[in-house]
Amino acid sequence: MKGTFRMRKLFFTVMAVAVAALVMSGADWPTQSGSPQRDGWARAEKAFTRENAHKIELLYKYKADNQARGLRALTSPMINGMLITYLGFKEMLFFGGSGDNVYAVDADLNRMIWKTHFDYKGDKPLASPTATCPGGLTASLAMPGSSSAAGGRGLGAAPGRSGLFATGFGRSGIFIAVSADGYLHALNTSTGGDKVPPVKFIPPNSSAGPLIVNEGVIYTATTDNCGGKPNAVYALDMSGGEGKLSSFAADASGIAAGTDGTICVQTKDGLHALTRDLQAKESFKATDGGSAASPAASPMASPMVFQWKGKDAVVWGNLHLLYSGTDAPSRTETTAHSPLTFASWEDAPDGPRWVYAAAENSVEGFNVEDRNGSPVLKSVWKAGKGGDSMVTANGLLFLLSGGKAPGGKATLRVLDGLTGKELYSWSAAAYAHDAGLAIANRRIYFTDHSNTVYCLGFMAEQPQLTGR
Amino acid sequence: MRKLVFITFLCSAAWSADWPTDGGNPQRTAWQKDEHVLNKDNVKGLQILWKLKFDSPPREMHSLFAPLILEQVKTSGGVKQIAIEAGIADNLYAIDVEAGKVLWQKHFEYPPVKEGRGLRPGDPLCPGGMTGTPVIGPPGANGARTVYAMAGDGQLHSLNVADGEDVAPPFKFGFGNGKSYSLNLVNHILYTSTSQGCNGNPNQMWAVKLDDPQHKVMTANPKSGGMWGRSGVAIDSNGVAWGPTGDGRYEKETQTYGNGLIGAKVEGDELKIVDYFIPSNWTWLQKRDLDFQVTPTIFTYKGRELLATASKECRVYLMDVKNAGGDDHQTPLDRTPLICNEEVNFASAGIWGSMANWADARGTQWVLTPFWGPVHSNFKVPVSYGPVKNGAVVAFKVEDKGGKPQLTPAWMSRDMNRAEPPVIANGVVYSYGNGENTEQAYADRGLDDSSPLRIKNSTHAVLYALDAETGKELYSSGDQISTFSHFGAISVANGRVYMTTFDSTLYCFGLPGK
Repeated sequence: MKGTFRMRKLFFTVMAVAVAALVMSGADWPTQSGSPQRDGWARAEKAFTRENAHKIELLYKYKADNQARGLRALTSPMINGMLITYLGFKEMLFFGGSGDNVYAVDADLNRMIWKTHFDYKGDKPLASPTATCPGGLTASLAMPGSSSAAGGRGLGAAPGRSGLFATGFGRSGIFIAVSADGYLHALNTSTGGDKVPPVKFIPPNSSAGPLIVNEGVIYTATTDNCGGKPNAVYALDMSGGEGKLSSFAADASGIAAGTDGTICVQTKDGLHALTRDLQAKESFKATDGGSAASPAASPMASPMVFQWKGKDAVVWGNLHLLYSGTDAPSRTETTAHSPLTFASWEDAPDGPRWVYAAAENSVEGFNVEDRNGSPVLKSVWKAGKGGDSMVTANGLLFLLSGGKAPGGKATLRVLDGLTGKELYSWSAAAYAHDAGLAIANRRIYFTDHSNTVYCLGFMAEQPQLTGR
Repeated sequence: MRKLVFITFLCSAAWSADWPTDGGNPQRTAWQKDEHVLNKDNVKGLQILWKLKFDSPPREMHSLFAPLILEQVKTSGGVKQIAIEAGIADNLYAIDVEAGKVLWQKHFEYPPVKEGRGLRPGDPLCPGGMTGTPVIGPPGANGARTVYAMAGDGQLHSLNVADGEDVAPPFKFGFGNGKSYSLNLVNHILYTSTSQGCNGNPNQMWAVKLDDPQHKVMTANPKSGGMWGRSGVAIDSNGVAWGPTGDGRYEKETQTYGNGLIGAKVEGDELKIVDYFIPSNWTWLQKRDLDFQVTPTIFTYKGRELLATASKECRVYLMDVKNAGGDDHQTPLDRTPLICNEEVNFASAGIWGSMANWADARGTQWVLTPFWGPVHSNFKVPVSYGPVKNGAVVAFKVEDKGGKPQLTPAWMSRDMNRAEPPVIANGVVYSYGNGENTEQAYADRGLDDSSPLRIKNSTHAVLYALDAETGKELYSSGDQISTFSHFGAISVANGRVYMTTFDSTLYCFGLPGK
């Protein structure tokens, strides 16, 4: 009888999800570069095309009451595509502010839903900001999931998981943030309140890279030895309720998660493959003499994982390619100039796998080709003007260049992903340090140093803004 | 003296008022034109004349539906004014409204429903049982009246109003436990609609010819989340049945008409969609779950037959039934600004249920809508009565502007806790705050639409009488009603105002001695 009841419950759950999937669509952009693999691929996004990209326009600006610290202001925007709150269905834009703030904004209406400010509780005083060590909230926020969740939160993950990371249609979720005092906060998506007591995560006054949430573990990497502590990668396993902390000493420029849970850490001289609790599995030295992306260049220079023939491939450093599909990991190298960011998509089922690498002054598009069972990168096009953050969607490449402080301006460019031809360009009012780009549900988002979030798209598709 | 008695009888007969269907008539005007007892001056003296608690348990949040009233029913005990009351537990009661006593009752028995996928305990959306308000047909050749009621197994029963006896064998019309909405009847064709996929039902409009020996069931399916206008469909003078389609998508090529309105007509032995309207912002409505789900109200204005309807977004739309939405099916005659729901809430704000219309002695045409939640900060109305936080009734005048009928806000009532569809009678508007807890999502856990929780957090309904021309409060029942009312409705006839509540109680308000 119990079994029957369970079956019925499961049936209704599945039906509810299926119905929801039919009637609602809301893709997430849950973390920097869209997924723990950092592939920057907005899989569900079909709104922008080669034909209409030139018509992209500013939909709105959201000005946050945040105080910039050093070069930092707002973190990269994230999107929770469909959240059922006690106030109704919401597509939620959320981001952090250097003044130890977290904001949740109704992404459709450009209206604040909630703001949370963290009171500093570190065992050391709040540090004064410097160019390299701004203090404050530095890590881009994250939530569980992946941009591959075309149907929005809960539809890309198995429903019914219990605890802090419970998912499922209509369930309240969490946004993860790390405050200036180094505490990790799991915030109720509906209210911004702490869903569980904050947990000590990284040293206070650290400069932390973008957060990843993977299999119940939250990861970040600290840079520039801020807060008087050496750089390290940190992991806080929250899957069991109480946080279990681990760390790995490294000058990491970025981290990405493999689909098997392997944590890939890029450092100046190589790539480290770690277990989910940061135990060393293997290390791979850069064969080009240590000219991989400098950690100092950008904490966002992370490796990228993509699937090739059903197995993980990792792109890192100067386009080193590591593939797990052979008995021994195969490696290939392609010369590039200190890429800052990668993106990748696959023109399935028959099209090629594309990999993009952007440096400060250039961006290059590659096809992944098969060489004796191992993937290699073959350059297809190269264009001038680079960027700090990339998203690929529907065969287009969206590239954000942060501009130079203090007078520069963050610039969004849209390129044809097949040819590199520029289709569109738009500049913000100010520069953006460690700028991050987000795309979800027919809209493009980024932030700049003026504490402003920019949202672009097509106004004709926004009846709630036009009143039509 | 005999002459005086005769004249008195004639006056009485001329004044007799019925309420044979939800909303009073097939057009769902909710306008009782024949009320002559209650008026603006005396309605302040309303009292509970009687209340009847039926042995008809609620299912989920549903209990009793809108009472139907016939004034002159020949029974074995003489001519009586009878109220027909339906309960979700498959019960039907006939009440002598003068005495406040049950004349007969019927319980529809049937084996467990096997079709469909079953119901989920605690789900307020799909209670199962008899969910559609019955309808009373016109007098037969012998003057007898038949009430048509659809039991929870989808069987349509035809009973003599006078004694509750079957006047025809039951036949299968609807989907078992499929949540059928209020029945409507025009020219021997019976209509209903179904929604929310309850028990796996197809969400669609249903029709059957009562004089068809085969009782072929005809359907029109807009391929949406459900046609959940509280009062079912409204039928225009051309026999087109109009129903809102609830949540869903619009795709012209595949005849998918979600988040809009369809008009369907029986042609031959088929129910065909002959027209439709889709709001230009349907994607927004879909995204925020702001369903188009309000039963329209139909009226004639300066020779044109118009309908008004609405959605949870909290706008009212005005259309010509001959060409709803114009050539592109997306251009109504008028669309009001947002009246409420600034928070864009899917559960506790917006317009729900059905609407109403009436024309005053000067010929001014009025359209009324209830709404839930706070009034929109940008909504301007010339007459109002204090802050509105929980809901209210808004009245519009239909006026010509540039040759087009438009809706001009006239008044907004006092605050009501979830205002429900109004009824107009003799210059008085009756409405009620249902007192129902309407929350479906919570800060700590998200979506959790649970009957036990909502029942626990509900309060009680309050009946109001308002001046129909100004919205001024004339009467409030205060704390006299014990429980809330979910999916209830008001009926008005012959100096009595009826409404029902969750505790299976039928209230009859009136003026003692009148």
